[in-house]
Amino acid sequence: MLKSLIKYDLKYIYKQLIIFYIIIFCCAIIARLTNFETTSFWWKFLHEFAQGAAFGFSFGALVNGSIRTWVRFRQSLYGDESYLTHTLPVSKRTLWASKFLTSIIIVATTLLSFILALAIMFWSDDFYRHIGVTDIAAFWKIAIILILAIFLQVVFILQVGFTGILLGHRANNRRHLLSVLSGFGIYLLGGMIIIACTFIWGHFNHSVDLLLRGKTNEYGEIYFDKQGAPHSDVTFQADPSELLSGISLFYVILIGATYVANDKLLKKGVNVD
Amino acid sequence: MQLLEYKNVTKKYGDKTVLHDINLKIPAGKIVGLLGKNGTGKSTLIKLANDLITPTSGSVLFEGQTISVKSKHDIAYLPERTYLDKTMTIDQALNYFTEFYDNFDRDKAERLLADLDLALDMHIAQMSKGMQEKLQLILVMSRHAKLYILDEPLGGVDPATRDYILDTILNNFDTGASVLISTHLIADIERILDEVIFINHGEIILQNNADHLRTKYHSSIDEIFRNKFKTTSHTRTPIRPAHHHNH
Repeated sequence: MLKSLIKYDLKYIYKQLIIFYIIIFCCAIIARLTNFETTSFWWKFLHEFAQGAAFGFSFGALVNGSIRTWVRFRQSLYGDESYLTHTLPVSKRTLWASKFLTSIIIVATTLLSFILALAIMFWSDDFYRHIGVTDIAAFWKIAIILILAIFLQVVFILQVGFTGILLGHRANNRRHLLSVLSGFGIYLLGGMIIIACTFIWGHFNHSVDLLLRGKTNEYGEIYFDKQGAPHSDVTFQADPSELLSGISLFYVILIGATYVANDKLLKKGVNVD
Repeated sequence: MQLLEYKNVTKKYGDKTVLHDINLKIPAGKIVGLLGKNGTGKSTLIKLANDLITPTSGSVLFEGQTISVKSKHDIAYLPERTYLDKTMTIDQALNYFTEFYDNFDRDKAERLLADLDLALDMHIAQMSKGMQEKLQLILVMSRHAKLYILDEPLGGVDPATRDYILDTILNNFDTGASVLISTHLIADIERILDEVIFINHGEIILQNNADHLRTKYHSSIDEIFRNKFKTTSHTRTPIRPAHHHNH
């Protein structure tokens, strides 16, 4: 049953999203093919346009995918289709699990399409030299953790949107407004919790503290001595991936908390329109 | 044990009481008409049995248990609105029901659809309202359920379609199963009813055997209903049986 529920949700969402993915890949390929030295304005324009479109449609895919996920959630639980959803012989727990997993899949595939587009556009034998990376292992460590952090943040945004819809529809009136306000409020609250936890962590972790206070360069290297004067030697190596890992962990905890909360809210029952 | 039972069920929306202390039993093997004017609580009563809303107080039991995954397996529900994804084709809708309901008889559904000359590759969005209603009815009646709950199945369709709907209901529900039909179009439906329930202002006014009522009052259910609700706009007046005069 869980597989079937996820299948139908994904079919609905991918119907539009697939168009974004096709455009992203087409633009990435065009950007790659037009990436050569030329004095022609039109080739340069085509290259820059295709590159910008790949980025733009990637962002659009993330936004569109998120909105369609919320719309699908609302329609299937509270709209006309809810008369079918809630009368299926599946438990509320399974129903909620299917929505959660659908959101994870959508975010993962959308981010993956963006990463693939980047690879198509930019990957080459001298890629690392081109972007000025000397420590390849450190680069990939930060890149992977950054992608994970972005993934978790988007998943969290989707979850609080679900929470907002569930809370908003417990009211008899102004459901849409209350859904938006609830979701946005919970998102702000979650953000503040993340920031507070990170600063508290910084009290106990020197590396994180220095990164938060902006006392490092982009590689986490400290160039200031204790009096705050510039220093020519590297005195301390902060690790940005450590900060990102911590933030990712906080997001995992928040996502877990919203999962449990949404499961309980749905189990309390619904009042469809 | 009754098939479906409402025990002291009250449903409120804010300050408004839609159902007030309902006690009701639906037996097995009967076609029961839930009859009332618009806005009297029929759909609310039906939604409670289908886990679409929660009671403010009281409980709804199916075969003695609270509404659950098992009861949803045994209850086939037809709402008064189109609940299918309109981007689906008929074939996709059949696949959907086959996947989720192991008691769905796809061959039966296809036979009934063939009678209507509906192509399986037709999109639901392309169908008229009447055709969509027929499709939903076929999907529901093609399930081997213990209880069929049909909410206003005759509303908004032409008389010929109404006859088709009634015949489909009569000819396709499982032996031993019950059918609960809510409607305000009593004249069309009373020929198939075994029992009737009258509901008004969120309260059950009457529940009785249809033939018994017709015999007792020498009237059709439709006429009994009209008389009953004509005289009780704000207060309840008991139905008085007809007097026999010996000449």
